[in-house]
Amino acid sequence: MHFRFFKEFKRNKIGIIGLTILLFLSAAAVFAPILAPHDPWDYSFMYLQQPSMDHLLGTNDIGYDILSELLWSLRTSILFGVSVAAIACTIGTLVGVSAALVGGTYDVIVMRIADSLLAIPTILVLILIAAYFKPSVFILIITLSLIIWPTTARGIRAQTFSLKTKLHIKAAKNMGASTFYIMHKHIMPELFPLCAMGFVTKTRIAVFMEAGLSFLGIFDPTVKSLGIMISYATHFLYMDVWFNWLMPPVLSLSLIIISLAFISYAIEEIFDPRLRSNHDTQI
Amino acid sequence: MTNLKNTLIISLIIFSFILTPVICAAAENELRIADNTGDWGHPSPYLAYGRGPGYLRMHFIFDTLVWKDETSDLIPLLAEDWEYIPEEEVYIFNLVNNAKWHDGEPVTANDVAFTIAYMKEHPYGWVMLDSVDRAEAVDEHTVKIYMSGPYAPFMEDIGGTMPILPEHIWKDVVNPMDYVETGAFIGCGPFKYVDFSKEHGTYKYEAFDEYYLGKPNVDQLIYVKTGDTQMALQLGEADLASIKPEMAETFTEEGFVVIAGPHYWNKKLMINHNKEPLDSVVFRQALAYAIDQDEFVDKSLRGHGKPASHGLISSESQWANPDVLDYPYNPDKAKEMITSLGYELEDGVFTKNGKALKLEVLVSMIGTGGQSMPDRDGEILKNQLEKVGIQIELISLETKIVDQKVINWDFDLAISGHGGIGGDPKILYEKVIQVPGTKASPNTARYNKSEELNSLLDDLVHEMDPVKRQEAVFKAQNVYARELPAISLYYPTWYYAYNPDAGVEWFYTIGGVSKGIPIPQNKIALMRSNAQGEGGIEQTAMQTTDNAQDTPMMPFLGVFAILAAFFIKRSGRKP
Repeated sequence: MHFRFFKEFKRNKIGIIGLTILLFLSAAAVFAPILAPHDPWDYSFMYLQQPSMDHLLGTNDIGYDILSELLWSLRTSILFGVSVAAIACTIGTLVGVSAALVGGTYDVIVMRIADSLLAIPTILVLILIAAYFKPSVFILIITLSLIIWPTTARGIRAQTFSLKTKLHIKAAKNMGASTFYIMHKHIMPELFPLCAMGFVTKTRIAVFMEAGLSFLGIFDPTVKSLGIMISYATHFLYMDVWFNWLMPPVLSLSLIIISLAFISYAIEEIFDPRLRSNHDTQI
Repeated sequence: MTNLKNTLIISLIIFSFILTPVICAAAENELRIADNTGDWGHPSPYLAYGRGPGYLRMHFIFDTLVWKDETSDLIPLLAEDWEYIPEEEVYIFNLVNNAKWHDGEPVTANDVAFTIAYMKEHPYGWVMLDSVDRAEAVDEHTVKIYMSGPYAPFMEDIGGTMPILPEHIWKDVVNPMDYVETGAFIGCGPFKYVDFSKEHGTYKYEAFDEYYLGKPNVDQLIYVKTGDTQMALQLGEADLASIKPEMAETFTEEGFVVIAGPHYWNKKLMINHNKEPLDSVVFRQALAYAIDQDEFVDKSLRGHGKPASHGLISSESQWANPDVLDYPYNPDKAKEMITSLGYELEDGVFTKNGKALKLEVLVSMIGTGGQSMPDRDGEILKNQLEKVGIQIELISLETKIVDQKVINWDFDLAISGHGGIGGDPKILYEKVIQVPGTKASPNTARYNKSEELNSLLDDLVHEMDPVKRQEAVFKAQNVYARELPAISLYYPTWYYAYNPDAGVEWFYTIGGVSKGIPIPQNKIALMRSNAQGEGGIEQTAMQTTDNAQDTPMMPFLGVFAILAAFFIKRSGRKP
């Protein structure tokens, strides 16, 4: 099944739209140091300037170039999202697969821990952590990753249980294959769709969380962030800055989240036969 | 019979139509103040939050002995006259004889004596009664307050700030912090308490008809919580609100009256002077030279403010020393001074014993006036201090956590702010020395390393001779500026706009309301008619023309309605 994934993805219009948007935004983020017309931390410009050739999106309340700030904020959002998703998915996959394969007391303990974490309201924990410790980007990435891995772990564990009973796995086991070999050669490739979907979903959650925390002011204030940009812009709406200051970060954030949702939907569609049957008509 | 019935019904309908606008007009005699924070605690002395807006919400219900008008002159309130007898160290207050509590009981000298005894037993955050020995009611309307020593700010600090409590209610209250019964809101001020909603952040007051200075010129006073105070003003949902400086012109064009406040609130850099290298006076002075106050005003305030005096007292206060020590922006001098402390500049960063000079700066989204606002000061400070070679780690935390960290000395630098710097210079004492027995304040430097400053602050509080006191205040500001237990950064200019048609002419009080609250919500404004302009406090009850019950037009309207009904019926008959 997994060998045809990319071929299938190419045929999925929603997935291609999502991926195109994401690649475009990621390219803008990666090349921000080259694309940004000004230093995003340079506030020597006149404040609250309207868009001009020198400042395509104008300047904000302190005198930062809004376009440069936007490009650097995209970097933060995408880097934060991808980092959290990578850590959370790694933890979730390892815990899920090991729980299913090892079983017994180990399974009970780790899954109860996962259940407990699922009951914790993520945003409140992050606010508390950020409030009592230094709310650095690194600490927030680690904290969020440690909170959101259980959903992946549960899905992976269930799928691994199902895979364990498949004939080819049993055959491999009977022929003397080691647990690691079975996991590496047979189970992990089969788990790819779940991992991919988990990764995309977690990236989306993390991007949204980062924007939310920075909007609330619980984030490193020296780091450029879409949430911080939105927060400041909303305080100056009376100055008619919604178009050049508020819209760009809101639109960027929405596009990131929409593109990830599209990709996630496309992956689900490819791997779920019930959705795949009529995917060409859906857009 | 049927005709008569029809006529009566038509009369009633016409009468209702005529009466509806009259009733509505009566309900409109209310004044709304918009605020985006909302909850400032119950409007009772011990329950209101210990910040200016909390005190203001309480001051409409409770009166003090004296008060301040816009000129900062003390005017009579509950006390119609007073005198100080230095030989005996006694203040004598003669109270007005027609003051009543909102429950109808008369206000007597016993209430004043009781309040002092009660507040000595249950300390009230806004007043310090250490210098007061006791109070005695000489007769029903005369009270003597015996001092245990000279206390220069007595009249403003106690006379003009201490709300008088009704003895018949509070004598049985053991724990005032838990007392939220109806009695907690019985005062003798111009307004009666009607309602407070913590969830909605709204306050409702009703004019006290029997107020001894006359009924206020609005029937109802309401504080409404709103996300956008400017919008509330423009939509007519509020009559008074703070506005952004950039909107001052727009509001003026729209017919509102815009008032710009004096500079009695300062943004301040708190310094942990117990920690190396901040314990060095030279290092703190180097910080002052490294800080460009003008840049803060230009960038953080977009020009709507002014650089602060390094002597804490507002440069606009009558107590300000015009020659206070200053630190004009000079990064080179700052570097020299830091070098003199054994630091070496390597790759743009100062190091000592191989360790980089790095400081943490705590910031919070505390706004002007206490409301939540984004803050650029941390970014500007980081930029300025890094220019001279000090590495800065900026940490944004919730306001209360920043305050707690400062109180626990768990910080290097913290950006904070407070008002009260335009009133009595005792603020200098309060913001330098931790008064024994009081709760630690995050804005107080708690600095006692300079004997000279301690001695001058002591003089400032206890010197009763005005000339000698002024001298001590001037000297204290200079020593404060030299020692720099904290560094004042700037004063923002605050703008308020009000609807002149609401009938109240709001004003900023010189020196601030009470102990120096820099908000234009002095209750005296509600005791004056807008039409009277510069006049004094209206001494008689103000008759509101749109009070439905008292309108003499009512019988005429009734007769008019009946006549109109007959006319309609006649014209409706077939010929």
